[in-house]
Amino acid sequence: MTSSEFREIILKKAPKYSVSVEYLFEKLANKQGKGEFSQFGPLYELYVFAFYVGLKIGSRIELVSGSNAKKFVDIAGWKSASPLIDFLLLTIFSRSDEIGFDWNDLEDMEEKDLTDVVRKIITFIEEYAYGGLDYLKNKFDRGELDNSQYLFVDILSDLV
Amino acid sequence: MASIINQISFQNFFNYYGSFENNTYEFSKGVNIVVADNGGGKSKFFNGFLWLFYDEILDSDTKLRKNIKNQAVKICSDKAKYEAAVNDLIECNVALEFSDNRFRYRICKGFRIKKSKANASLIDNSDWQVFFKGLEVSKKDIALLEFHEVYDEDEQRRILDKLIQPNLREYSLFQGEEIDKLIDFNQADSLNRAVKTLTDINKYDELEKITKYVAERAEKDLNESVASNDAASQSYRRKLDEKNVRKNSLDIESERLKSYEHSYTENKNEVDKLESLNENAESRKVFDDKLKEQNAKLKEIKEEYDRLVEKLNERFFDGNFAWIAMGCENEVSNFKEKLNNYREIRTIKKVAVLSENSNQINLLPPDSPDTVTLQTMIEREHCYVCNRDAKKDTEPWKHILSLLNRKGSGQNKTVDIFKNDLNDFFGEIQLGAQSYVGRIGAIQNSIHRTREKEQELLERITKIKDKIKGLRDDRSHLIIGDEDNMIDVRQIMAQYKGALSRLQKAEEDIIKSKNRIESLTENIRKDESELSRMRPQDTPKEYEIHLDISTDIRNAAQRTKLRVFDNMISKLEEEANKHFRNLIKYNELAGGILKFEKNPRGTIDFNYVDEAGNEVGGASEGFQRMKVLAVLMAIISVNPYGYLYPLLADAPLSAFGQGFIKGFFEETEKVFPQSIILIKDLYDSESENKLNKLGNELLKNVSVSTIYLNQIPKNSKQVEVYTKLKKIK
Repeated sequence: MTSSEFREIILKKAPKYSVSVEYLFEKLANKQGKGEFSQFGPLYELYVFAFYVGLKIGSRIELVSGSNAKKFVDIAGWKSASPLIDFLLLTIFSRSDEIGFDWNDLEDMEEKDLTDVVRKIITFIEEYAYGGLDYLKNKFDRGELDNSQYLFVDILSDLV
Repeated sequence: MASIINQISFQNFFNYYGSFENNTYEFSKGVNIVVADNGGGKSKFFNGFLWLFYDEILDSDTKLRKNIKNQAVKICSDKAKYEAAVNDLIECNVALEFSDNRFRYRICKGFRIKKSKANASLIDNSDWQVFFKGLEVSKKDIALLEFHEVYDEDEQRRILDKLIQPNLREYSLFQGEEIDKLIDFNQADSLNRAVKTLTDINKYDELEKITKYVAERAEKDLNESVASNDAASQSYRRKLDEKNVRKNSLDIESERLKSYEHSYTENKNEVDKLESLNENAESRKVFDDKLKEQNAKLKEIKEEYDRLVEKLNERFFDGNFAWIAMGCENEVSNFKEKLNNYREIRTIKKVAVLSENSNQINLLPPDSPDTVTLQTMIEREHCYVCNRDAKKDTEPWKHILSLLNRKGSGQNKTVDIFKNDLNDFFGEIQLGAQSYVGRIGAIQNSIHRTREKEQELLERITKIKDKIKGLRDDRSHLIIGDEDNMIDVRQIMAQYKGALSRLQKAEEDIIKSKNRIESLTENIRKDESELSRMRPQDTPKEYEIHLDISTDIRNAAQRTKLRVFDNMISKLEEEANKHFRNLIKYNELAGGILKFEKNPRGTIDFNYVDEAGNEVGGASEGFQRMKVLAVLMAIISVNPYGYLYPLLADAPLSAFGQGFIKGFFEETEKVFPQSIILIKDLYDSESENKLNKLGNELLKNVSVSTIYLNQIPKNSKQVEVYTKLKKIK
C-alpha cells in the first residue's frame, strides 16, 4: 500500500457521534443563523473542537454502536484544503502507543491488519470527541456556558 | 437686592430618581457650575425651571416646548415607573428655594402618577393616572426658622416674579443656541428690544410723552383764552387756523412716518430672516456633511467589528491563527520524536534487506549526493562532498564513478523493501501541519491581540456614536423655526427680492416723510412765534408763562432723552468691547470691534467691524456667540442698578473650545450676581475627578462658589438610569 492509499483509507472514514449530544450541534454549530451562543460554522468544526477538548481533559468515552450512534461526515470533507487534517493526523499519530500500533510495524502489515489499525484510529477520534462533547453537554445542561464571543476560546484556554 | 437661588431639588423628575434628599443642589452667590456628560441631566435640570416658570418642558426629540399637562408620564423617572407596582403612587416634583435680603422663599410644583396596570408602558398616558398639584409657595423671614405657606395667588405670582421678572426670563434662562436669538443681530429690532427691556431708557420715553402732553395742553389753554377775547384780530384767528391745519398735517405725516417705519422694520426682519435662512442652510449642510462622513465611518467600523466577531471561531482552523492547536506542544514533540525513530529504524531495516541481496554498496547514508550531483562531480572532476579535486582516472574520481554506477541507484530501488511504504505519508503530515505547528507558541498572544482589537473597535464605535449624537444635537438647534416649510430656493429668492424692494421703498418714504415733518415743524414754529407777537395785550400772562415753561420742559425732556440715549450708546459700545475682549482673551484669534450707532429712526444699529471700520463677516460661531454675550453683558452693565436676578445657562458654549469657556466664566461673575452654568465641556471621563484641565483650574478658582458633578451609572439600561450628583466644591 502506498502512502496516498493509506491516507485515503483514513480520510474516507466517517467517525460517529452519539445521538445524546446531537442537539449540541444545533446550539453550538449552525451555519443557518445566529443563536444564543457563539457558534462554529460547519458541524465538523465543533466535532474537531470537542475531540481536542476530550484529549485535554483525558476523557475518552466508548461509543455504543447501533441506533444510538450516527455517522458523521467523511474526514476528507473536513476543511480538506487547510492544514487541519494534517494537524489532526499529527495529533493521532503522536498518540500511536495509546491507540495501539507502531509506525514501523505499519509498513510490514497485511492490508487486513492495516484496516484494523485504521478502525482503531477512528475509534480513538470518536471516543475523545465524545468525551469532549459530553463535557460541553454537561456545561450546557447546567447553564454554565457563557454567552460570549470567546466561549470556545475560553473553554480551551481553561484546559491548557 | 438681587434674588439668589439657594437650592433646587428634584424628585423622580426625569433622571433625578428618588427623593428630594438625593437630588438637591445647594447654590450660593457667584458662579455655580454643574458638570455633566451627555445624558447626565443638564437639560433635565433646565427643564425644572421651564416647569416652574412656564408649566412647560422642552421636548428633546422635537426641540419644541410642550405643556407639562400632556408630558407628565414622560417626565417622571423611568426607573421609578419601572419599579412601581400596580396602584403605586409616584411623586414627581421640582422645588426651589431663593432669597433676597429679607425673606427666603420656597416654590414647588409637582404631580403624582399612579400605575393602572401591570406591564404599563413607560410613556403611554393611558396606562397611568395623573394628579397635578397646585403651585406651592411658602416664605420665611431669613432670621426665623419656619416657612409659612402663601395661599394668595397674587402673592404667589409676585414671589415667582421676584425670582426672575417675566420680561427678563428670556435673558436669565437660556439654553445652547438660544443665546444667539437673545440678541439676533440680523433682526432689526432684537437689539433695541433688549436695550429697552434691560435698561431704564423707557422712562425717558415716558417723560417725553408727559411733557409733550403738558406743553400741548398749555398751548390749547392759551389759544382758547385768546379766542374768547373779542380783541383778537381776524388775522390772528386766521394765523391760528393756518397753524392748526399745519398741525393736523404734521399729525397725519407723523402717522404716515410710523407706518413707513413699521413697513421698514417688517421688511428688514424678512430680509434678515431670509438671509439668515441661507446661512442656516449652509450651516446645516456643514453638519450634514460631517454626519455623513461619521456615519460612513461608523458603518465601516461596525462591519469590521461584525466580521471579527462572526469569524472569530474560524480562527481555530485558519492556518494564520491555528487556535485549535492551543496546548498541543506535547503532541507535536511526540510526533517529531516518533518520526525520527521511525526513519532510523526504517533505514536500518532497509540496509539490512539490501545487504542480504548484494555486497555492493547500493544504499548510501542519508544526505548523500543524488545521481545528478554525482554525474556533475564526474564531469567537473571535483568532489563537492569534501570540496577537493577529483581528476579523471584518479582514485577519488573512480570512487565517485562507482557510486554512480552502483546497483540499485535507479528510481525503483525501494519498491520491494516494504509491504507498505509510508515514508511519504508521515512526511506529508509533517509538512502539511507545519503552519499550525509554527504558530502554537504565539496562540495566546494572538487571542490577546484579537481581544484588544475587538475592544479597540468597540471603543471607536462608542466614540463615533457620541460624535454623531453631538453633531445631531448641534444640528437640531439649527432647525428651530419654519425654514423647513420653504419649498425651494427660487421661492426664497423671490420672497427675498420682494422684501428687499419693499424695504428700499420704505427707506425712501421715511426720508421724504421726515423732510416733510421737518418743514411742517419749522413752519409751525414760525406760526407760533408770529402768533405770540399777534396776541392781544390783555391775554392773561399766566397762560403765556405756563406755555413757556411747559414748552421748555418738553424741549429739555426731548434733549435729555437724546443725550441719555447717545450716552448710553457710547457706554454700550465701550462696555461691549470690554466684555468682548475679555471673553475672547484666551482665544488665539483677535476679534473685531463692536460698533453701536444711532440710525435715522432713532434706534440702535449694530456692526462688527475691523480697525479700519470695515464690516467683518463670516466670524466663527464661537465669536458670534461671544458677540451676543458681550452685548448682553454690556446692556446689563450700563444699567445703573445692575442685574438683580440669577442667570441659568444650559450648555452656553457647547463645543466652542476651552478658551472661550474660560473667558465666559471669568466675565459672567462680573455681571451676574449669581450664575448657574450647566456644562459638559469641563467633563473628562478619563480624569480621576472627572474634570478636565480647565475644570480643575475652576475648582481652585476662588470666584467659583460651587461645582457639582452629575454622573449616571455606566452601561445601564434606560429603565435603570438615574443621575447621581456629587458636590465637589
